[in-house]
Amino acid sequence: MRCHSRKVMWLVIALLAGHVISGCVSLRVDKINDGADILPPPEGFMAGKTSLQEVLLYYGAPTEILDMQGYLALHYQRTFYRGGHISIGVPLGDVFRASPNLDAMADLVRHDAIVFIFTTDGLLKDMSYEKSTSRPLWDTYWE
Amino acid sequence: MYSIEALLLDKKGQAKACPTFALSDLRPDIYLALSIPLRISLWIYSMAVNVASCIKYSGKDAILRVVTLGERGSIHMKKACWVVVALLVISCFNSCAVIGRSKDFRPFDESALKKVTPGKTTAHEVMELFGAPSEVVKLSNGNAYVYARSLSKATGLWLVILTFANFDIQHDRIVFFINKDDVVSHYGSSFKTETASYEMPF
Repeated sequence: MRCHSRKVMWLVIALLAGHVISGCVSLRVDKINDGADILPPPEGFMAGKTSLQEVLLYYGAPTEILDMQGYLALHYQRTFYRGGHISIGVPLGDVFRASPNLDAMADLVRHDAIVFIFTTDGLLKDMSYEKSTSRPLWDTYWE
Repeated sequence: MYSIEALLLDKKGQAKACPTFALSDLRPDIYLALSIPLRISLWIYSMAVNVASCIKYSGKDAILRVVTLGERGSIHMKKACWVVVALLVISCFNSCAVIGRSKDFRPFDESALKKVTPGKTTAHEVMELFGAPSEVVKLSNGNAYVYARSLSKATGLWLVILTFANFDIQHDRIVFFINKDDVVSHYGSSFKTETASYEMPF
């Protein structure tokens, strides 16, 4: 029975230690997606040929409309956020002056975007597409 | 009212410490051979309290022994101990899950788009159908009326030291391009709020 009691005692100590540690260590993982997926432009979209109406039919309402002094720009965007936060600390501020604490955080916001620039006649002048969410998370963060 | 104590005996008949089970309405001094399910239960239980040393004795010679309350005075102490352990284990797994829904609402009706005809419908008629726009963008050859609303779905999970949070924000948008004659020249719409979902960030 001594062996049994000792094991229970160690288990209780381990659990209590876990409780204490849980107040000092935390790990947080966040993800925020704002907007729908942005598709690449179809091959048929060409400068000087594609009209404003065709773009509106394919992509719908843009995220942003800009007047570029004679030109019109439609901007479609999706924002994708990934965040992580690790905190390790021992709150001893009430007892000692020093409270050891380590915080590490990482945030990465990636954007999928496409912009169309139109002439005053409503014809496509230029366009640009970027899909950042297809890039690797880890390598992009340290790039 | 009786308690039952599982004792795993080695080949020499010496008892090895094992967990206590609280059972009732069992006759004392009955020896029960360990059945397979009981053996599995004992193994799982033993693993839970880290008594790996008991497992190697759970062979053919192992038996389950029933004892009365009076046989051991320390049985209440052990029960209390197990209750404390159980409570600590439960409290270690305490967690919280949250789901939330946030809506930026504007009462425009997407079916009213059927009533809009480019080249005919005026800016005034657009406002009669859809109300005041969320935004008016001044353009060199007219204006753009923007109607927008959004839906955000949030999911959160807290597991002692781990926190997971996810937000999915989707938008409904209608844009009307109004020319200098105050007539709709083009319009575009996208309705995505229905695609917002509750999910985990992994």
